[in-house]
Amino acid sequence: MSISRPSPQHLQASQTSLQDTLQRALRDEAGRAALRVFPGAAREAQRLVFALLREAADIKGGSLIEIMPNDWLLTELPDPEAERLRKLLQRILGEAAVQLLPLPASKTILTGLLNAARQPQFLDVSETERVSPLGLRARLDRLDLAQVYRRQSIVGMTDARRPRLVFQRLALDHQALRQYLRYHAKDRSLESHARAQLQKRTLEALGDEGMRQSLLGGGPVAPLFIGLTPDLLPPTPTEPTPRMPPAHSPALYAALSLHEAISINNLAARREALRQDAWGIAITGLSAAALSLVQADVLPADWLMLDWSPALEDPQALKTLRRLDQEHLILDGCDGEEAVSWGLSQGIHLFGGPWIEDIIAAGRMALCSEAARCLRSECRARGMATSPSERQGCHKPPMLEAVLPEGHS
Amino acid sequence: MSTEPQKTTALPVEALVAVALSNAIRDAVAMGEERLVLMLRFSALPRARRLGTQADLLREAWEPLNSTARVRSFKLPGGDLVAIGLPNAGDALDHHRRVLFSMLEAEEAEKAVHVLRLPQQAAAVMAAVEESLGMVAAMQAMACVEPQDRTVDEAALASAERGLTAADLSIFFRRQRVCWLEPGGQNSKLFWEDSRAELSEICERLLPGCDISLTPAFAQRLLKSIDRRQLSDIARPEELGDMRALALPLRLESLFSTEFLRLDSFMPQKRRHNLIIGLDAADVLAAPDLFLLARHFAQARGYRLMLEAASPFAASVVSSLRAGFNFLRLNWSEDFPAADSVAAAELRKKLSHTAEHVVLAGADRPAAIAWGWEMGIRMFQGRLIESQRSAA
Repeated sequence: MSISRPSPQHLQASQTSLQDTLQRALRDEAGRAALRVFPGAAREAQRLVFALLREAADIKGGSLIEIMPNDWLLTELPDPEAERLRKLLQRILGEAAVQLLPLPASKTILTGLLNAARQPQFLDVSETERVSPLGLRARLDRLDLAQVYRRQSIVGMTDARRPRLVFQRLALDHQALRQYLRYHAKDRSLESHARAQLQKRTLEALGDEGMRQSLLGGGPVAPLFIGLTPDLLPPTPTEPTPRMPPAHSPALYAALSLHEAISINNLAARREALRQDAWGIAITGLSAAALSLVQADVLPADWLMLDWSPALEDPQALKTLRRLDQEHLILDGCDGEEAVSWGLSQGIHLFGGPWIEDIIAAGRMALCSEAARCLRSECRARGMATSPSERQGCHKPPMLEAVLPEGHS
Repeated sequence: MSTEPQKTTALPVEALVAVALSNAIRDAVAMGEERLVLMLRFSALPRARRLGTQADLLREAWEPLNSTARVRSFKLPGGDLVAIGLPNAGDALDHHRRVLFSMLEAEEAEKAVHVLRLPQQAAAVMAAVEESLGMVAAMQAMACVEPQDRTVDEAALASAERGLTAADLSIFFRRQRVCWLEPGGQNSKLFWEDSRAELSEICERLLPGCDISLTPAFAQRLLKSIDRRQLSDIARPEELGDMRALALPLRLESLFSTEFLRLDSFMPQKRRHNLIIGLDAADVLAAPDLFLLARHFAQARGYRLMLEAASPFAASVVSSLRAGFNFLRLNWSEDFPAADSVAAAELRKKLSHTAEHVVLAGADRPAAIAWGWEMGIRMFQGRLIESQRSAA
């Protein structure tokens, strides 16, 4: 979304009329209220809230002002309309996102707010922006996988101090991809197309010994998770082959996002067939919001990956969680000790996320004889790097290759 | 399952090599680009050559190809070696062919060392790959080799989107009735009309020769454009004036489009109940936070929501009732479990909506309606329901 700003030559005129508008709103007349709304950062939510506010303003008067980004004001509405709109917006955005300011009683608050604002403006939200797909392929062709992929780790912990490396993961850094794509990332479909193309490239790169070494920084030291789209999964044989128990635990896990996993209607059978070739299935993206919508216990997967957020404490999310076997859960996105403690309290023992990468780097440095020559942040970045050049500077490459060497305690 | 580190330190590299090689072959064939292929097939050599020092020497001779510019080298599961090179790597490949020939008896070399060309000799390359990789991988590779590339590229997509703004879409929309049908089929009652775009027909017109299902994200994008066109059309006063109950399948993002918000502001409050918004289960789970926002909005405004599940599995994963949907729409196919089977009973248990709130689409044959009745379903949509109308 973009908020369109008035051009400088129009600024003065609009500032004047803005002043008039505010004067009018602050007049001594009872039976009115202003609405302050925090629409959130999602451009969809902003468009929706803007449409509702504008509709009210068009019919009942009042003006829309942007105090700051994500802090909007509808200057005045008659009491009943203001109350009705408050209820509607709170239902959509949550209680805390909407504030009703009765007028003229809240005059001082409003004046304070507007004085504190650096430059209040009339609010305008642009129409749905059309992003052209042209140029996406060329941009992707120029992208080196190492720019957007990270070597991550999933550790097992039974208390917060003793991590063991259980899985490795070659993960797409969505933030880095969006930054690289910039214009094209404004369209969800184009971004998702880009992800699918990169997943295909990664799978091919892993089949090439040199590329595999480069991405993983040496031989794999634990079973590997790779993000895949359903069409990249190895095919199911059309002829039934004699079933034999799989010789080993999977060495490769296809990490499917939840919405792609449910589009494979024979997922359970596919999982069985894949096991013969030492592939397993992990389903990612089980956020608190997703958990409130699904019956996750019917998902046939070796691993279900929960996205950590404090919202997992939500009763509905917890209810779904209780029906799952904790032995198959991984708590992903752990950003601090709080996440791991919560996971442990729920019986979860496998963890991934930025904080896990921190403690892995710390663990590695504790064992490294050359640790004094590096910063923790350097060791962490090199450990997550997916190209030899980004690993340069390490004085003990075998330690880096081992991710979290044995003997750590 | 134990969370102990599992004792599998080796990747099934073969599986990955198979994918990489088959993709390389497929790409060359699909793009019609010329590639040279050099193969050394140990499996075609006498036993003595396949083992020990002699085999090591052959592999050593091959080694430089692993780092030759414009050449990709693959080691297949049985040990066979394949190098694929651009035409300007021809000298390097020919050099290695001659080295290998010099190390082997002429007769052995004829059998084991091959130079092939893509795309012309794709079949021969595939046959050799099939022997090396085994059936499964070969089948995958074969499936990948298509006579022509039918993938939609971005230029085609952009041109289709331009075409969409000018095209008369009404001919690509299929309107079907959703009726309540009691066993016996006597008292059918119209509940609403369902209006959905026939993506395949639209693509036939706007993307001739292409298969948009190969690029699902592009298909989603095109559907979003179609949604917006349809929403603008419906927002016209003459359409809104006599709008009866209507089900519209929409992409989740379309609910936040300028076009939908405009329709919403034009639609009288008491009419909103007439619009049933269909959302696909996969679309909902792709952006759950966005869905929660859309749901609050739709419910507050008085629209009804219908979850559309592409398969019984998708229907059983999303808890449609808890997610706030008024209806669940299943699209019947021959793959559905037989009505009196254990699988059907399980499906019924997993569906969170009671049968009266389930719509069975795809009721083109009596078997579908019989299945629905058996499951307690009474709302149907399909060619059979349409033929009742024409008969009436």
